Amino acid sequence: MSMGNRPTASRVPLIMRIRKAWLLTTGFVVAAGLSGCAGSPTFLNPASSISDHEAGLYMVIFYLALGVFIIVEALLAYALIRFRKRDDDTEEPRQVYGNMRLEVIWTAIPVLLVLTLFALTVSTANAVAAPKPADSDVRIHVIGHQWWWEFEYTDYGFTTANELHIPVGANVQIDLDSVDVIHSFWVPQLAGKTDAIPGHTNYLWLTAGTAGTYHGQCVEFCGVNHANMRIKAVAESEADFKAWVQGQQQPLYQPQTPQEQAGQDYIVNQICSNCHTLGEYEGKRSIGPNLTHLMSRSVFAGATYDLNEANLRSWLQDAQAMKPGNDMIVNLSSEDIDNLMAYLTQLK
Amino acid sequence: MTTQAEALSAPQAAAGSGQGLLSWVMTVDHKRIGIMYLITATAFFVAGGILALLMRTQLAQPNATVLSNAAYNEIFTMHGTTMIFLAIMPLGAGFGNYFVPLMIGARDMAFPKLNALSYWLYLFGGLFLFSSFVFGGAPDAGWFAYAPLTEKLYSINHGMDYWGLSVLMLGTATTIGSINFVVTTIQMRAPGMSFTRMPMFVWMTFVTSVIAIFALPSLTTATLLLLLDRLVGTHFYNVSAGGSALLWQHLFWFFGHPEVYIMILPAMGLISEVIPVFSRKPLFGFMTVVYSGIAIGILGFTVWAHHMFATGMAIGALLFFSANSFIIGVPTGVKIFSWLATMWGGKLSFKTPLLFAIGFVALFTIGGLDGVHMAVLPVDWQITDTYYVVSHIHYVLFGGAIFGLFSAMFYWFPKMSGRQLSETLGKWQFWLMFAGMNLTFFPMHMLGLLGMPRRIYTYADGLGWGIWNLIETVGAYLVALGILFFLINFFRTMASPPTNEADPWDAFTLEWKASSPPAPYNFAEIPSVRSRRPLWDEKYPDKADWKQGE
Amino acid sequence: MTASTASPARFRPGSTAKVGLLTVIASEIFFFATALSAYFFLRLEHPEWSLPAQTPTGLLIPSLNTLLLLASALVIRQAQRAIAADRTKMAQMALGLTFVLGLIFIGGQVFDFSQSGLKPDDAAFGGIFMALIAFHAFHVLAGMVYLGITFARALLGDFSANHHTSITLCAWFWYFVVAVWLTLFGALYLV
Repeated sequence: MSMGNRPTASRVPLIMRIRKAWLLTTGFVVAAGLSGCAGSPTFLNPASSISDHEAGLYMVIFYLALGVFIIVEALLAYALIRFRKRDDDTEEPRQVYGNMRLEVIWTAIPVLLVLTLFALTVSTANAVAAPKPADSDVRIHVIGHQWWWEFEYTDYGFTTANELHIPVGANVQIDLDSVDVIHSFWVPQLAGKTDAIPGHTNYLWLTAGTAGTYHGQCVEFCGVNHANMRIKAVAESEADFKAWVQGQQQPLYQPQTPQEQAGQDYIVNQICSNCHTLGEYEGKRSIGPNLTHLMSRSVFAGATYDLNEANLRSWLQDAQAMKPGNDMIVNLSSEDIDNLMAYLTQLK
Repeated sequence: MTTQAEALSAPQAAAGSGQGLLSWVMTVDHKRIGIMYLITATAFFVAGGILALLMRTQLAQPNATVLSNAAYNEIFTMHGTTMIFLAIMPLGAGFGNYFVPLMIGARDMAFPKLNALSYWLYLFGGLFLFSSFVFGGAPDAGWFAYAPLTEKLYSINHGMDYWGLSVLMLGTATTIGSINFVVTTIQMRAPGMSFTRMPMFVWMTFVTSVIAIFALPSLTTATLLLLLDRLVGTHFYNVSAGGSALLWQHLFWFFGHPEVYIMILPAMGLISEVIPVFSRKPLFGFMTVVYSGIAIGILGFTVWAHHMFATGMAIGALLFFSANSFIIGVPTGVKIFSWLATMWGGKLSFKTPLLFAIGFVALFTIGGLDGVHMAVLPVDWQITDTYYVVSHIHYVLFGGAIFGLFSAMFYWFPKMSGRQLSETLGKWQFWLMFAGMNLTFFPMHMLGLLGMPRRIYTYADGLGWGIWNLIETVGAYLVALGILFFLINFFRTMASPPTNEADPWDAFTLEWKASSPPAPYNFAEIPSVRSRRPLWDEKYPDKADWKQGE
Repeated sequence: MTASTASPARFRPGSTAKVGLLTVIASEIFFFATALSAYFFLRLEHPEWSLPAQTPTGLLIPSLNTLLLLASALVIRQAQRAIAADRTKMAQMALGLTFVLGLIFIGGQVFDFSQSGLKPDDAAFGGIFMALIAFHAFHVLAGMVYLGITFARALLGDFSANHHTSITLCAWFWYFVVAVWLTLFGALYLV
């Protein structure tokens, strides 16, 4: 890139600029297309009618905006090339102060454009934020905690964490709130985001169209572990969902060995019970997740780690190392950890 | 002849026009205060940029451990707070302080001592805020500090107290400064300079100042209530005791949205000065651009809840704010077309000021179109609070405001210092910044669409986010290199002997009539004007604007 | 010389200070507007609050205070008219009396609140109520500081019929403070 004052030099950067704009645009379109394959949690790869509507509207807006972008940048690029001052030219150009007709036109056209966009907005918003369906098939109370998501299936009598199960094709109603600060619940492929606000219940409805596992995250900054407050949403067949529910409704596993008994005793009588509930949860709101069917979940620690024995043991040894700043501040002896592991791994 | 008599008898700041550090500390001369604002704000801009580089380094790869989560949260909070309150706003104020009086043919601002107070409050507020790093932890709840996260219960250390107290000081400084600009503009224009003949930068600074006067009080209320909660034990934002979590958001964004126009309008005014001079034509559709600015100022107060689309407010209310957010796009677009039309048919001289102004037009267009996307309520439900927003804000604030401010810096440097910044280094800086900012911020559109929330210190592998983050980090370092070029340019230029050219760009407005740098009293005789381009009229009398009825 | 195209109003003595004060008042109006909005917002979220506000003395002290401030507005208006007619002694007395009335107002507020049992860390209602009254009281105190200085300058003979911008500004600020009180009284005690 030459930076001297030679007359021809300034043409090169301009063409480069135009090329760059073009590359960026096509690159983006390609990336957006690729995203569906990459497993990204994107509404452009929707798994529900809501996200589908939103994606469809997005594409319309995107192409309209692309059109405006091309027109404006092309006019700019053209002006920069066509009206460059030649070095030997000392005459001042014609002094033009304005043109009322032109100014009216370039005000009126954007007004028409935004009216169109607003009409599209209203119609899609109504389609997406529809009033409560006459019957919700499944109702889930989603509660934001610092820094994990609780999924309370009130009608079914249990509560779980981090991993959300819904049946495909069913109308799911989510009652959303928080026990502490403002969080925001978002599984892009299933629906737009809605804030979880303490003292205030928000509602969202969604219907998953395709079975699958969908990634979500808390999307309102909520403190030191905001990044580690994730969601694994599982949309499954009616049969699989029923089976899962039944599993969650099973009574608490009772210890069958002394070591398991020691583990359960520890949880119920020692420091664990300050934050965790075990067994009948009776609508208790706890600082940490309910552990009754811990091993039925595939993720833990705000869905940031796979739930397997190695990770669980590491967590008991040093939860702060795995998720710094989280509320689990304990100092367990290796004997306690062995006992706990013996019991916890049975809680399927 | 009250005009002349009053002008000649205007007292000069004797203390503050000499040499030496004390004269600068004591000064009430608007030019010196302007320079202090510009230098301080540039220093804070560099600090904010370093914070950004730290963030980008941490985000370059998934699960990185460059920064802990706690440190990252302090850094992103301080980055936003610094760039908005300590860099962009004061840069605009600095140019305003220096050039509004000159451009309207006055000898100083209406209230010179208050002017000095504004600056020192700003400096103290900024230093106080940064001292939090040393005294127990910087604020870490984001630059817009949502309650109840900011309550004592959830933000235990004193970081948020530093934030609140600084914001009150900085808000006061801005309010005082705005009052000064408003009164100066109303009261001290040269003979013949009606409002319709004022330069666009003066107009935009005036509108900005009016906005600030009405917007800052909301921030004051919000912050006072927060500090009372934290320090006295009230419960305004504490839900369990009758407070409201959403109250903060309404109060804050009622300020917060006009705030973004406070940041962009001066820059729009600045490029409205540069583009005509380097196109050799007057600004196309001057009054239309003025009315657009006023419209933006007024409409800016009607859109605030578009920052709250995900809060579960009633759909009717949300659609109201969506509609207003669309409407405000129209005057903004009108300005873009005016700048294009100014260049059209002109004779463009690609000096660094014009390059940055063109960069503004190109990049702000993208940022503005992003904004249109976000006004679409159902789409916003997917893209709000993600990297899409981060892309949008940086296209308008970096590609827009910062580029506009650099345009002004290169344009007005000769007037302030009697020396011209190097064109070679300037062009290098421009291209590094242009390429770098696109590399950094364009992929953020993708990241937002691919589901990456904002304000996360790290992210999981396998979500398709890693490659874009890496590219963005490279871009950020390019931008930093560009800024480094500016700093080199500045120091080299200041070390070189001055040329003291009064009018190196063959420009149109009154400030170029004064010497470079101007005498302490600016003008020996208060000039009178007959059009918007008094210097053009003087230098090209046969083509004078007033002869065309303009 | 085109001085004739200059707007003469711009250069009337004291006009710059007046425009300045009006801008300050505009800003402060928005401060109270946002604070009052916060009050109404919280009220809307809590229909269970027992309203309007009552302190143990009921509406008596707030009403008396309202009359007091209204009277002080009339008094300071007298100061303005007096100085415009060059009656400096009358102006001095009026300024002094306004100050005293302001002092009694503050005293009444403090007394009322000490009797009310309301504490800042009561639930949000107590907090927002006290905050609004306190914000207003600070503005009254600021007005009184300005009044005090202007009164002192009046005693020193600084003002005359042709030269009394400070008294005008002082009066305007005082009217603002009274107007805010009327609004608060209505919003907090009557609605």
